[in-house]
Amino acid sequence: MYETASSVQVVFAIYIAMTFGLAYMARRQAVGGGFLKEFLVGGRTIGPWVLGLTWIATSASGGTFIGAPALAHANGWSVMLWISGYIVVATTGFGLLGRRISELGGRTGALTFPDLLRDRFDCRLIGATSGVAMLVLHTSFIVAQYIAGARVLEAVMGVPYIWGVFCFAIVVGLYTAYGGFRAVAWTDSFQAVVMLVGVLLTAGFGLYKVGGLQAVYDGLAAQSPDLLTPVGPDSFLPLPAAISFFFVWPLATAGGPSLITRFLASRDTDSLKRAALLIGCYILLLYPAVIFVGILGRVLVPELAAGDHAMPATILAVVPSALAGLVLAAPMAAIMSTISSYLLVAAGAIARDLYQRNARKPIGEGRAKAATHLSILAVGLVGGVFALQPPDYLQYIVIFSGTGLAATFLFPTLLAVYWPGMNKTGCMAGIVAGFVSFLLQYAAYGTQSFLGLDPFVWSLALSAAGCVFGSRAGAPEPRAVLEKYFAREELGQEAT
Amino acid sequence: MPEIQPRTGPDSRPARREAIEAAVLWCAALIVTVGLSTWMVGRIDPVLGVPRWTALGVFAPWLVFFGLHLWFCRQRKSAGSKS
Repeated sequence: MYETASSVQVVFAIYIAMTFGLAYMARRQAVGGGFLKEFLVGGRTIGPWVLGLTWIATSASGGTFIGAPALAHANGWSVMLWISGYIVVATTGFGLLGRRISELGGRTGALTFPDLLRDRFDCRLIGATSGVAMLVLHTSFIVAQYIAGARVLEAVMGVPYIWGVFCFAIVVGLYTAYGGFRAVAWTDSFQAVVMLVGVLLTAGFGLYKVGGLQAVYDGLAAQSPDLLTPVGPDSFLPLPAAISFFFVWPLATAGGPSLITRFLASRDTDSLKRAALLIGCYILLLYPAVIFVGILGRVLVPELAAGDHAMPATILAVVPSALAGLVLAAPMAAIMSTISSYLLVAAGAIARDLYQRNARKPIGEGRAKAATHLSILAVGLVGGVFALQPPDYLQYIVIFSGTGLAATFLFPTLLAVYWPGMNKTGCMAGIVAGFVSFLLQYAAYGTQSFLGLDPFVWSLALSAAGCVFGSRAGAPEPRAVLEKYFAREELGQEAT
Repeated sequence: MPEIQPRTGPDSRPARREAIEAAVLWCAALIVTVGLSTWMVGRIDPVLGVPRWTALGVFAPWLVFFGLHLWFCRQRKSAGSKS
């Protein structure tokens, strides 16, 4: 534990109270139209500002605020190249699927990501399979966030790790279950602002304390010149890894079901372009600053109790104690916003995709509500149990689950919404090829598969091949179904 | 508050065009950033306190592609208004 003023605890408490206050206000704004529609996509009334901020708050997780600075602390400036795929994350995140998913959500009434796939192919198996894959991978992502949150509480307030996990599970589970998507989106927006302000303040104070960028450079050079190279110490980032991470960040973000769900909640397609503009500016300010804080930490606090303490230890070292609580709320905000979004998506997968849409009789409002709340409780509990044995660097779990989701779903989704020739055989083949090849590569080779590339790159390619070859082998979808998704002139001779 | 439905038909082509543009920008950013950083692998002398490869291989492309993102968002507006 690092030295902490009591004001930090007070600001933390105020921050948590404000989060609950926002969740309460959000719930009062509910528009009706059915419990699940309001709970899972906020009644489809989310405008550009909240849409943009909830998107980035979901995307920027404990990995961004705890894992990435920890890697920068260990590996210096090479982590700036490692994260440089964020240059185009706003463009790919909104450009590849945003507009199309938003249009289809409004027209087909899809409430969850598996809803979209299931209805496009009129296939229960696809809905259930994608629901299960999402549940497994989202839960592992939630585990990573619990670890990150408990690490912050451990480093800052001396809260034992296990109690930290417990606190996170309770606090986030409560406001997510209480307010659903709207509460999550509103609290995300607040948390996104806290995140940006916190990181920029830390970077500014740190730079002032060290004496400028040149002093940071000299400090790193004195420790090891390897900290200044693009490859980093111990060949942290060889060329295949640098290429891999340029696939990982932009494409994993674009293909993440929890982020795709944001587009289903969008009020209209015009909101998307304004949200994309906002996110481009936000990313430009946030990500270089986050990595820079980790690098600053290497100069100011070279010895850490645990690698993942880099961000909180740097904050406590550079930010005046009166402001430290506010700034320390930034990593908390990143973690809480991501857990809440993932909890909601995982609970939606159970309540909507596995239960409601497979029930023999229609499910009433009360049972849907109970199923959703119970699902949040169950996912939160399971995540908490797995978080009790944390690894040294949580960033590896974040990358595993984030890339696993995109490897499984990116190409099946892209081709489902843009290619009329895609059919249910192709979709299943793409999902299975992406998911299974990803797990097998991780089990056999770890993070470096063939040619030193990340398993994600190969799984994407296999998933795409599975979609195309499966679609060629299977029967075309009925024209009546396709006409809901494509203009007649697009269908042409492709499907009959 | 009533739900506002998107004013769009089933035509996927405007969205597909945007997706292709996003994919092209991603490819270009990958080649430029990783290419420049790799080409300057030994250039760690400082430029404004930052290693040269970071300044020219990461930060400069970031600013250029940020400009292209702004163009992309403006372009989305004109495409969206006709659908």
